[in-house]
Amino acid sequence: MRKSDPWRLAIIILAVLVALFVDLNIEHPDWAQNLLFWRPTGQRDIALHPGLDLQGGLQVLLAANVPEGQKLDAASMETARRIIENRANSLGLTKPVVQAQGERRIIVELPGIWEPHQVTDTIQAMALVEFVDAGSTFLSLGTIVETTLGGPPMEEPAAPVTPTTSITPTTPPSRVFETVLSSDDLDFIALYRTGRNEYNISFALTQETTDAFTTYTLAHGGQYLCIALDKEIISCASLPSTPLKGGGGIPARLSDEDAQTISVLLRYGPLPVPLQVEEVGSLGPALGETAIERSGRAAIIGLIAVLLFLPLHYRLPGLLADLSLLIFALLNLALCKVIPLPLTLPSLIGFAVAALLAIGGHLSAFGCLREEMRAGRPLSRAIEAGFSRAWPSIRDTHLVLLVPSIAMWYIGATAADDAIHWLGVTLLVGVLTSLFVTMVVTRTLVRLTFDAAREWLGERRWLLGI
Amino acid sequence: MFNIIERRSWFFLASGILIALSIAALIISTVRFGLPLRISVEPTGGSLFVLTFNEAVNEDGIRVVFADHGLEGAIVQRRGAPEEHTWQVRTREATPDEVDAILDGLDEQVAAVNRDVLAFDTVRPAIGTGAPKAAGLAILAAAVIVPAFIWWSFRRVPHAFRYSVCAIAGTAHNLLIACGFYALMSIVAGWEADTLFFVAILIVIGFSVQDVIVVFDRIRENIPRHRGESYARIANRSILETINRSLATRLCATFVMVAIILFGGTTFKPFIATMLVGMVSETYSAIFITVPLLVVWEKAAARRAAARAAA
Repeated sequence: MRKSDPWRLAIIILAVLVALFVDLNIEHPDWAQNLLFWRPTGQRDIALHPGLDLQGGLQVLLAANVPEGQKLDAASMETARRIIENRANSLGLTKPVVQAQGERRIIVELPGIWEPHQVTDTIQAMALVEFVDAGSTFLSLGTIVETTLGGPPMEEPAAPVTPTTSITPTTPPSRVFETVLSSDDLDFIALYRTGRNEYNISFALTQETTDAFTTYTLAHGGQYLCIALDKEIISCASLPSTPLKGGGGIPARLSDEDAQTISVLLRYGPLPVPLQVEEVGSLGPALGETAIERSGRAAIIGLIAVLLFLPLHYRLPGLLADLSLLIFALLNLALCKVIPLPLTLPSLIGFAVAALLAIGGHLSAFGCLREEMRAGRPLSRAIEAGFSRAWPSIRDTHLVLLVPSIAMWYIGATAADDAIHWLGVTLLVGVLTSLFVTMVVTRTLVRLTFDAAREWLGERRWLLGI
Repeated sequence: MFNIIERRSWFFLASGILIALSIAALIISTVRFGLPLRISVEPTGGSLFVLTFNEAVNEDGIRVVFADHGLEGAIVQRRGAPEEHTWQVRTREATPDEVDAILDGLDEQVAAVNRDVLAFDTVRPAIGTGAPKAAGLAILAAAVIVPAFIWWSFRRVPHAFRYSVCAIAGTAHNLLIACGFYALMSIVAGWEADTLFFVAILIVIGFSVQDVIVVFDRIRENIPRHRGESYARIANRSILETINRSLATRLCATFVMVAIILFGGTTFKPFIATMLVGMVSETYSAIFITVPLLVVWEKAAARRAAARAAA
């Protein structure tokens, strides 16, 4: 046994335990989810994200909400479609399908979402932003207001809601607030997180409105300026005595969940045509339920054949390779859940190819090991010589897949081609895991097993395949 | 020692015939469909059917009826709960006549379609889906990077450039055969190249040099070990020493792929079959084409050098 072996074994056991914990299909505790610091808060779930091809999702049919007979402009329908596509993209990991259907409808297919209420508001919202002059009244979050801007008809009449917690007098229902600015006057508006439940709405004005707004802020210093999204107040703050030029930031206290929706709506701007959900329903996988079920079963049969073949052909090392392949699968499944990577056919193929790479690497090492043992070398030296002689070919076969997988990742991401993008990413992840499994896991397992059972194995050389 | 290198003319001939057949299939496909490979319209515009049947039906049955009427590669998805018997079908744009014929066909072969809740509409392509273009770029990038990598990796071997060129030749061989197979199947069985086809081709390219690298590595190792042996003998020795590993690895992949082709669903078959053909071609070409080509080159260069020395 080498000095470093206990350490290696500890790392392997730790990695397997962590992977098992992540892989388990349980409700993971909050602290575990909060460890995923690279993902935005609110999206740190430890779960698989199957794509439309393997699992299906929710289909939402949107129709233009304009009076019958009114002519619809094809260009604005296309703009609306693109905005909806951007919003839908922000809802999940894998690509949604967003297409114009006929003249006045847009069909949206969202992968892995089953509850309509999660998304319909985000999808169909008009996302009209208004800066309203509230005078000396503070309008609390969520207040529905009437404004001087006519705007498109709302789905439900804007019934004013009485704010529950407010120190200042509540708004009389009949009051109509003056709209100072609306989406058209804004060059840019976005929501930034500044702390827990604390956000900042940052905006920039178009050239034409800058002067008017500066004058306005000068005249109204100390009064409340509120921001409404689709007539619902999302922020209210008193104006500073110094004028705001071209833009500024207004603080907002929002729950993280609301903030996520608002942020998406602000980012992609208002719809040029009001849309309304006409139909919502679940949709099966694009590759077909029956086809997926059957192919999945077939793939499992094939995998069992592989797991049987390796020990039959390579004896004890083959059995250890089986164990390593299981560890490879556990690790990759865990990585899928934490990074996260989507579960689509191309990404599964990426992992399958990486698994094949791992098998090839193992067989290279075992081949060399066998040659060394046949040459009469003692067991422990044969293991070292076997793995180090196989190393150049293992390194090269892995490296040669690394660069194309990065290229696929990059090209897929820039061309918005999901299949190639995720094939590249999963291949990259799989190649790195395969390298770890071959050179660390298997090597250590073989060494420790052979060390522990040297004499016993010496009498049973057929177990080593010589 | 079995001598593969000596029998190389036979292997070159066999590959020549296969490549000629592939090119023929690609040409016939160009003549018939205007493209060497029929490209499918997914994930793009076309027609969208929403069909409600009076009883439970099977998705394969629906797919077959659409294919019989010339709409191959239909995407058949269940809509809503299973007891609703409602299915959504996406196809290329269908003419009114085709729609009528398909509905009659479904009534006859699958189950009665409820005409009251039938929906049929055209959907426009989502602009900005550059699938074939992105795939083309990725294929190009892989085709440049892989040989460059081999050149770099074997830079300590004399004439590393030759190794890389022979690897390209092998990759081109596999690529042609995989594409030729697909073209043949699109002529015979109406297959259309979709995103998954491009994925399969990318995998074929990426994996093409795996076995080649293993043999090359062994040649690199064997050259100093067997000084005095001819290059052809060293190459042959290296092939035989690594053939077990190559075949066993591919066998593992073949288990899974054959299982899916035999027992898997129809939508996966073209994809898996293309990869399988590519894999078989890769194993074959690494052993019988790429390495013998390298030997031919080395021999010719050695002869030329000898002639120059004599003169």
